[in-house]
Amino acid sequence: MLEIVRQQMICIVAPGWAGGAELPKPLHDGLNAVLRDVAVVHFASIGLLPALTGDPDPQPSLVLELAVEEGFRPYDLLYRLVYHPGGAMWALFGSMIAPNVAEPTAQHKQQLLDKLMSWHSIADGGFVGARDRSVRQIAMEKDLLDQTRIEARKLKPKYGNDRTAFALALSRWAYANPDFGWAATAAPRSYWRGKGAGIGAKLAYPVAAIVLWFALLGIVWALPRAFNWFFGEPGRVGKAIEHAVTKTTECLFTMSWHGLLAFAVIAFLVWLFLVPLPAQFVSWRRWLNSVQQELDRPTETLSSLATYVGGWVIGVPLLLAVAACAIAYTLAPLAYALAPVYMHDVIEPKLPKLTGLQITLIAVVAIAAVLAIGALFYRLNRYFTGLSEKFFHPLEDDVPRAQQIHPSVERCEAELVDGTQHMFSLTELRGPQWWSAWCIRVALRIVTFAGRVFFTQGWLGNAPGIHFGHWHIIDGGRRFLFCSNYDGNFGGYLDDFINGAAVGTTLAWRWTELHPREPALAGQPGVAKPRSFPPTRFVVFRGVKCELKFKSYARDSMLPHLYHFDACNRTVDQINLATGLRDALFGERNGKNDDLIMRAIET
Amino acid sequence: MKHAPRLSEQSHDIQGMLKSGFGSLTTSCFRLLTIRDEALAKAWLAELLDTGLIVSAKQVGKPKQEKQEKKKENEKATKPLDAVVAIGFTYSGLAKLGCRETSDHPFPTPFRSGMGSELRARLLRDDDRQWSWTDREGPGGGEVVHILLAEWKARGAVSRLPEIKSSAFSVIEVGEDSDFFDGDGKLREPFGFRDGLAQPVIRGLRDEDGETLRAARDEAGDLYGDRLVEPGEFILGYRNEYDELTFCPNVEGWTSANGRFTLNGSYLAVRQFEQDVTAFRAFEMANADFFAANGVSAGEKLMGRRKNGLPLSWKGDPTVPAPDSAADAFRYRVDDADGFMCPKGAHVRRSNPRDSLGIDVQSSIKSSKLHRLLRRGRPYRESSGRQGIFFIACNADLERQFEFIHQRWLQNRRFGTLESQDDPVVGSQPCPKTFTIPGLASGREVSLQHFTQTLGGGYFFLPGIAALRFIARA
Repeated sequence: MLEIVRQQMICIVAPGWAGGAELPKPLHDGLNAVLRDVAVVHFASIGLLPALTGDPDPQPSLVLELAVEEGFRPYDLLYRLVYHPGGAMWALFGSMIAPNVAEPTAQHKQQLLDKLMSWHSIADGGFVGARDRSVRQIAMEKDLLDQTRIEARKLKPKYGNDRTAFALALSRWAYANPDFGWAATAAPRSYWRGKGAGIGAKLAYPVAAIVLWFALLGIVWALPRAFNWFFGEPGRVGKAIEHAVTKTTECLFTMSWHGLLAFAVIAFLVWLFLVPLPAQFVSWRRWLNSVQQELDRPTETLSSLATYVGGWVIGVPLLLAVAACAIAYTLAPLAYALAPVYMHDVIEPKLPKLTGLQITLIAVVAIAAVLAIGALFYRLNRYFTGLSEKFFHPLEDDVPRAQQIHPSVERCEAELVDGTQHMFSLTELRGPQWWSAWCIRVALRIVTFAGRVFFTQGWLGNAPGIHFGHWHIIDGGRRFLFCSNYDGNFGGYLDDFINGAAVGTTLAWRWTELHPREPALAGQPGVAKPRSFPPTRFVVFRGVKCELKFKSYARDSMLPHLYHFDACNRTVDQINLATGLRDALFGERNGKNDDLIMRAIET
Repeated sequence: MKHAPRLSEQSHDIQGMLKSGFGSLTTSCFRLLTIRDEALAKAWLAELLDTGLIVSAKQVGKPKQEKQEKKKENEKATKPLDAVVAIGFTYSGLAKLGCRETSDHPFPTPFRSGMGSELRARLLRDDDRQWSWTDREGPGGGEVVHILLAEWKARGAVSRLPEIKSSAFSVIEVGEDSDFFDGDGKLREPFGFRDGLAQPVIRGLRDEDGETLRAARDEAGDLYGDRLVEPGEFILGYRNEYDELTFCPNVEGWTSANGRFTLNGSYLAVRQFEQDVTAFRAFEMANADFFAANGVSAGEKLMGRRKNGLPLSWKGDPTVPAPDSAADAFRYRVDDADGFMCPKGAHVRRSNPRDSLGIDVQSSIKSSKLHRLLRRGRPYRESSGRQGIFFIACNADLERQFEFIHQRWLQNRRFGTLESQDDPVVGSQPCPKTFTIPGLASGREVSLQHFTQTLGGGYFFLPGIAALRFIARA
């Protein structure tokens, strides 16, 4: 499933770019033509990556970023691009394959295709916003929206204030219009975003997986018995096999339901402490809020100290203890299977014999104690506010050269001010690089999965306006490239990351740093001073929440584009509106659909 | 690492305009100075400082009633201010006066680049600039100015400004003694709308206002928190809405142990708008049927507020005046999600979308607070008959505040789900253009022309009082 998403976002990093910092106009036109003809590319951008530090070849690498429709393998896409009669791909990359060859032969093209395949990488992780639609679908739905608005202007005097009649008239007009025959079927969406996978289906998948697992255990347990039923009493070997299978499956079965029960109890406790208890107890809610604030934005006051120390002294040991109990409970059947005598004679006497009522009472008292501790800390925080301000007066965190933007990057932003914005960000992996690469890949797979299955309304967390955002580990695991196409401006985009997707962004970038680097070519940005990603707390907190440091880090990591292609130039909101109108016009006639049509035509 | 300053201990160094709009001083005049002679300019600045016209936030604070009574008992009540001045400098103005930024703490790119630059013209989507003044050479032309001198006076008060000699400066004067306050002491801009509402409240800076603040809080009720913004959003060196200390650039030679050169300062985004009152009235007349049918004029729909300042979603009797704080306590998402009352593209809804743009109310309010402006401009009228607004917005991060609002909200033709519609009042989209007024069953479109024209603009830095003295001596 993740492969489908990752294949939508491709980067080709071609080393040894000998050209300049601008692409000639005919090449721009040629690239536009080929990308339009291929008709599956949403966005394409070209930039220059500075040479690696210590690389004997000081020439920059050319990076071509492609964001394409779902379901295309990179080979199929690159084949179409390379063999397009316009020859733009040869004009771009040809000098790196066979210098001074203007008209490539079939062999040259095959060489280029092979080279591009060796240079390409699919995204290590990414998020697709509203672009689970095809390029053609977006264009056609836009046309439907435009035509409907025109028709609505004509019909308005006739239908005036009658919403139902007005919507019906527009719906009839759309049905009767042969140009919109394609729209009669429901708008095609990717499985997780369409109507196929609602919340019920999303819950049903893990439930089905658990049921299947237990069914599998049952089948394996039953197999020797079925064998005996068919073929009669087994011999010594058969009995030994039956015994082993029975013991193993029973052990696995018990471990599985123990694990499930432990997971359910932990999930219940998490829910209890984060949902009903904060709703019921103001002091607990405020304490949780202050903990959250301190984790994200430490105030360096007494409250901050209490949270930090409390986190390490109470929180972490408590979580570890709960995890240890859950693991012990889950693995207990295995221990009983391997060393039953030891468990009975040595371990069991040491365990307290408690009734269910006693366990329940202890749990209630423990929860009450946790609430009381929270309330106490909250009271202390409130009571000592003045005192803590005196003793823990915030320190000024110096961020040199903050709020600086390279002119080439600003020029790119200005160029796209009326369209979808684009960015390249290039950072280095923190050492040891294999470890950073592994951590980043795990984090990115989680982000990709969450984006695919849960954030299906075009928002990543609370961050709106992202069309494609993707990360690539390149140059043999040394550098980290982030490419994004988004609505808005870059500063606002970073604000969206800070406020809307802080955990995912911190996870993706926390294993990177900026090393000094020369500009790829004159006029492009370099990095003068090395620096690390902003400090994090407990892996996922803080990080991007350090506004100045994070924005400065992100700004300094940016590279300008030499070329940018946008097949549709529609915002995420506009795309969603057009799809909504299509489904409303051709869907059931009800108040919701009628209202959606009315709102769509008046914008 | 140093301790961050406390706002309560620094109000003597913050220029008064960050704390007050000087509503009691009803006449105003804005002068744009271009330095001709640096030495004379510094001498004039030193003279200006000696007049005491540049007041600090501490001086404009209203003491609490108890304190006031005690003061009266003990000493003569201080004479109320009858004239105040604020002064800001463009990047080139600071350079001209000998202030060189340090390499580690330079000024932010937008300020250094200047609003007048070609790049900023494109970023701010200013099509076809024809400016008479600016802060830096650019496509709009116009005189490059170095200093903004804002003067507020009580009606009839005599200016005590030191003489501005032509050998030191060339001067562009905007609105000599303009007075747009009505009989009730309320400010109205040339189109006839109440102005100066919807201002953020700087947390910690108005605490001294005692009764006034308490009344404002009571009138706004639960929504008072929507207006409360951290001081670092407007004053450099303090905690902002991210709980981060706002970046403070520095200049060479600045040696104060208190903080960097820009501490207690702010950036001013300034624009001079000319308002075409005749065109606006003609528009309202042409859409008179709208008023008859809906009880609000089409002009009020464009602006997003009633002329008396009440929100279009006001539930009480709109003819009965309400306190400003109560009139500003409203949201869109629950009461007016579709824009039936305040259109989605209306000027005030674009300028401050409140809770309407995010995924939920709380995250939207939080996000909106990152893009607030403290407005200190005034309407002006010139002897030629030209009138409009001299817009001044104080902010600590030009990119995140003024430029974001201007580029992404006001000039954005795809704001929300709108199609080819920029701000109906200050948008630069070529005319004729349309504006959608949502309604039932579906809304209507009205045709617009330009009601305003931008005559000039620039970014200025409003220094603290100590920094001003440093500039005068530099």
